[in-house]
Amino acid sequence: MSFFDKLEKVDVRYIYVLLFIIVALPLLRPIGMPISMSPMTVAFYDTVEKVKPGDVVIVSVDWSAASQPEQYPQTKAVIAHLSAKGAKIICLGFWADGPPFIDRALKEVFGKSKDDPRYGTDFVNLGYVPNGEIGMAAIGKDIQATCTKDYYGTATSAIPIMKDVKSGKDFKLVVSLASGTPGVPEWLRQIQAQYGVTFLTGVTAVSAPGVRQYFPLQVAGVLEGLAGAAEYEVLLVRYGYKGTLAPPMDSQSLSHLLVVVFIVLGNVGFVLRKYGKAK
Amino acid sequence: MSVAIRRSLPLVITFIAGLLVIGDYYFKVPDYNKLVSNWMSFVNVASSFAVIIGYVTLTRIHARRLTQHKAGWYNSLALIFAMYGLLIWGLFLSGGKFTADPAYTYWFNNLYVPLDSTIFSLLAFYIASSAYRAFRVRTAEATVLLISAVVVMLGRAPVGPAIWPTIGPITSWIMAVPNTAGMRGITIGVALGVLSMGIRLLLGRERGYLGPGA
Amino acid sequence: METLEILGTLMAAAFTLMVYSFLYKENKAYRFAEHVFIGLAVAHSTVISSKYVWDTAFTPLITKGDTFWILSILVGLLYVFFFSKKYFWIYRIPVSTVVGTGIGLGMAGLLRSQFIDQIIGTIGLPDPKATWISGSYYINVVLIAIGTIGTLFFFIFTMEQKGPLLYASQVGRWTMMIAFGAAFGFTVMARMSLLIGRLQFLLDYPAGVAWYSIPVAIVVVAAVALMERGKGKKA
Repeated sequence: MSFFDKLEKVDVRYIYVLLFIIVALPLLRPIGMPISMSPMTVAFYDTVEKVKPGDVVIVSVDWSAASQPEQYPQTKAVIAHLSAKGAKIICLGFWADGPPFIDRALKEVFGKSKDDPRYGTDFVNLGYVPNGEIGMAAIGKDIQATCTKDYYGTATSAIPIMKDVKSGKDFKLVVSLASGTPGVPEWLRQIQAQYGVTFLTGVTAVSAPGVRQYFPLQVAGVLEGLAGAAEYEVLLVRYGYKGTLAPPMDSQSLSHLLVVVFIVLGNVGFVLRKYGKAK
Repeated sequence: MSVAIRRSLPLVITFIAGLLVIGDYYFKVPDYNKLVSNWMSFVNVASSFAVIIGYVTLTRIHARRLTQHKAGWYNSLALIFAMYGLLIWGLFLSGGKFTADPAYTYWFNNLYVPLDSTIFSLLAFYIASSAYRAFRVRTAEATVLLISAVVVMLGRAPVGPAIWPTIGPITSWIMAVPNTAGMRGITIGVALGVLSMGIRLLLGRERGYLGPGA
Repeated sequence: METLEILGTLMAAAFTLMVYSFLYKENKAYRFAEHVFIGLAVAHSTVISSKYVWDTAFTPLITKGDTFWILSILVGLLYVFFFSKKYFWIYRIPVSTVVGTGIGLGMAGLLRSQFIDQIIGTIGLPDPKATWISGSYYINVVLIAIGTIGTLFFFIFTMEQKGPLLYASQVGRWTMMIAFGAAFGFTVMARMSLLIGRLQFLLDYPAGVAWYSIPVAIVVVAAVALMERGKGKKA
C-alpha cells in the first residue's frame, strides 16, 4: 500500500482528535485575527440604525437549542441594538425552545426580564405561538387574540407596549432569527408580502445561501451564522456592546483551514492514482 | 356514518379550510377577515393536541421494553422518567408558570440545552471526516463545486481575508450572483411544484396526509 | 444556591461528554444520554404547547364562559382516535383542518413571495451594494438573469434536452454547482460553529466548566471503558 493509500484509509478517530485540538486551541489562546465585514451584516446594521424611538419591532426567536452557538449571540446583539435605538421590542417564538432563550437574552441584556421596570413598556416576551405558518398569519391578523398572555402569564391587553399594536400593519420592523421551518419563507409569505413590513433575518449558516436570493427586495439584511454575529458585535462596539466572539472566530478560521487541508489531502491520492492509470 | 361520508368528510374539510384562507389573503372584507381570524385561532388550539399522539406512542413502546426487560430497558426507564418528570413539573408543580418556572428553567438549561447542542455538534466531526474521505473531484462539476466551497469557506472566516484580502469580495460576488441565480431558479421551480401539489391536495386528488386507507 | 449551580454545570458537562463518547464508538453512556434527550424534548414541547392552550382556550372558557373554545378543544381531542382501528377515520378531521388551512396559507403567500417577487428580483436592478465591483452591477444583473433562467431550463423534463435547450440547461447546471459549493462551504461553517459552542462551554477557563469537565471526562471514559470491557468478556 502506497503512502497515499494509507493516508486515504486512516482511522476517522484521528481526524476527530485533530479537529478537537484545532478548534480548542484558539479558545484557550486566542489568536486575534481581524474580523472582516460582510455586506449582508452591514445592510442588517444599517436597517436597524434607521429605527426611531418608539417604533414597534417584532423579534422572533425561531431556533432550537441545537443552533444556540450561532443564534444566541445574534439574539442578544439584536435586542441590545434595538434597545439602544429606543425601539419597543416585542419578542416571541414559533419554535418551542425560543421563549426560554428570549428570557435568558433579556436577563443578559437588561439585567432582569419580567422584574425589570422597563418590562411591559420597552420590551415584552409574548412566549410561544404554535403551528408555524398558521401562527404567523394569526399574529399578522390579530396579535392580541393570538397571544392572549405573555410568557409569564400576564394578560397581553394589560401590557402597555401592546396598547396600539393590533396587527401586522402596526409592525415597523420584523427581525426573525430562524434556523429552519417555520422560518424566513413563512415570514415572507404571511407578513412581509401581506403588510409590506421591513424584514431582517439572522440565520444559521446552513440557511444563509438559501436566504440570499431574497435580498434586497424582500429581506433588508442578513446575519449569516456565527460570522454574522461576530461582525455585528464589532459594529455594536460604538454602543458599548461587549462582544465575545473573537476567539470562536479564530477557531472557525482554523477549522475551515483544516477542512480545506482534508479535502486537498483526500484528493491528492485520488488524482495521482487517476493520472497514473491514464498514463 | 356511511363509508362514503367517512371518506369525503376530511376532503371537504380540507377544501373549505384551504379556500377560506386563500380568499382571506386576497379579499379585504371586514366580517369575512374576522371569521378567518377566529378560524386560525381555532386551528391553532386544535392542532396543539397532536402532541398526545407522540406521548402515547413513546409511552407504549418504552413501557413494553421496560415490562419485557428487553435489552437496554434502563434507557427506556430513563426516557419515561425524563418525559413524565418534566411534564408533571411543568404542568402541575410550577405554580402556573409552566416553562417560566425557575426550577423548570434549571432543567432546561442544564440538561436539555447541553444535550440538544451536543448531539447536533457531532455533525462537525462527520463533516470533517466526510470532507477527507468522500469529497472526490471525479468530474468537472465536482471540481467547480469544490473550488466554490473552498473559496466561500475561506472567504467567510477571518483567515481568508487575512491571507488574501480579495477573497472577501470574491466570496460576496459568489453569494450575490451565481448562488442567488441558482437558488432563485430552484425557488421558482419549487413554488410551481408546491402550487400544483396544493391544488391536488385541495381537490382531494392527493390523500397521503390522511394516513393509511384514505 | 451555588451548590445547585455547580451540580447543574457538572450534569451538563457529564451529559455532553457522554454524547461525545459516541465518537470513540457506540456505547451505553451515549444511548442513555440520547434517551434522556428524547424524553426531555417531547416533554418540553408539550409543556409549552399546553401553556398556549391553557392561556388561549381554557382560561377564557373557565373565567368568561367563552364557549367558542369548547369546539376547538373537542376537535383537538379527536387526535386520540389515531389509536383506534375502528374509528380511525375520526382522526382525519383535525388533520384535514390543519392541512387545509396550512396549504391554503402557503399557496396564497408563495405566489407573491416566492414567484412574482423572485421574477421581479431577477429582472430588476439589484442594490449596488450587493456587488463586489462598483460599476459592474449591470453585468451582474445579466449574469443573475442568465443563471436563473438556465437553472429553470435544467428542470424541464417534458421534452428531450437537445440543441438550445441543452445549452441553456448546461448553464443552469454550472450555476447550480457553484451555488451548491457555496452551500457546502456555509454548511461546514455552521457545523463547526456548533462544535465551537460546545467546546467554549467545556473549556470555559478559568472561571467555569473546564475545572469540572476534566474529572467528569475521566469518570465518563472509565465508565465507558468498563462497560465495553464487560461486554467484551461476556462475548
